[in-house]
Amino acid sequence: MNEVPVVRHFIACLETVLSQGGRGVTVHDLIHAIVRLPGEGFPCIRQKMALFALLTNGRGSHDFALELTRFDRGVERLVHPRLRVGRLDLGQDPTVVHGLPIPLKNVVFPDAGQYAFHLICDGQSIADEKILVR
Amino acid sequence: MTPDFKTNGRTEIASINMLNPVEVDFAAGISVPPNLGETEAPVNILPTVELDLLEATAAPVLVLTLKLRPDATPAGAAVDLFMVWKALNAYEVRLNGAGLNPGEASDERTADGTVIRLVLSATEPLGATERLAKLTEVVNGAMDAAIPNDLLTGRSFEGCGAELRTAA
Repeated sequence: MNEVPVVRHFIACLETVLSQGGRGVTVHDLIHAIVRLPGEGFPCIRQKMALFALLTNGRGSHDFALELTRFDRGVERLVHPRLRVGRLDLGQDPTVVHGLPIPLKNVVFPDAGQYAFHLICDGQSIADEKILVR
Repeated sequence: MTPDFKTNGRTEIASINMLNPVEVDFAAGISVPPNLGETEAPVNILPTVELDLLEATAAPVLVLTLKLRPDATPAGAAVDLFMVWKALNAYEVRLNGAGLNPGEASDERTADGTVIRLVLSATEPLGATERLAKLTEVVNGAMDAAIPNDLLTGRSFEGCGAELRTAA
């Protein structure tokens, strides 16, 4: 049986650290906005950041992916081709809570504005996290 | 991939003004009943998947090489090229893709005659490499004829080959 999970949290942060034994996770330095260093222009780059998703109510295997969009005069546009996270097996117990750490490298923002990371499951956006870039 | 700081400005995380923690006691001074069950908040951590957005920008493409018959006419070749794209596009959709976008096209004179090269990319990036690899096998004849053979090597074309590459 397959069931798309419900996303309890989808958070942007600097990094996620797994506890010993992998039973828990710590989210370090929440990100709400990214700013250019003094004198730097656009496009700008964030070399290191991470996303963390907490999923539940899911069953079976699903294809997960990530999309980065930007709001341009009220229209949400894709700024990066869809990135494959992979096919993940969530098992058959919907009460299990799954943590999905997604470290990101070299995220390029072409311009200032409001961006959104979309967590895609089987082709559908199931959560988004908005980031302001200025 | 090494980040290019000549073209991409460096960034920092915007600071957060951290307010003082406010502890909320749900018991609000009332003594907690004894023998309450202990709790935990278990989380099953899935495998970490690191994504490099500069590396991932290089999308897979299918480069199609069609060798023209010496007696092929321009109109016939144009129609047949369209029919080849239509057949490959339909097959890619059958593989759960969203169709093929034509990219650069060129013609080239070789010692054996004239060839047409057409670059095709997948509309749906998820699983594109696997689908385009399967299309490459189909075109190169390594798989059963999922596409009519006379479409690829009949009419205007006497040979057809495909190669999976990474877009520049």
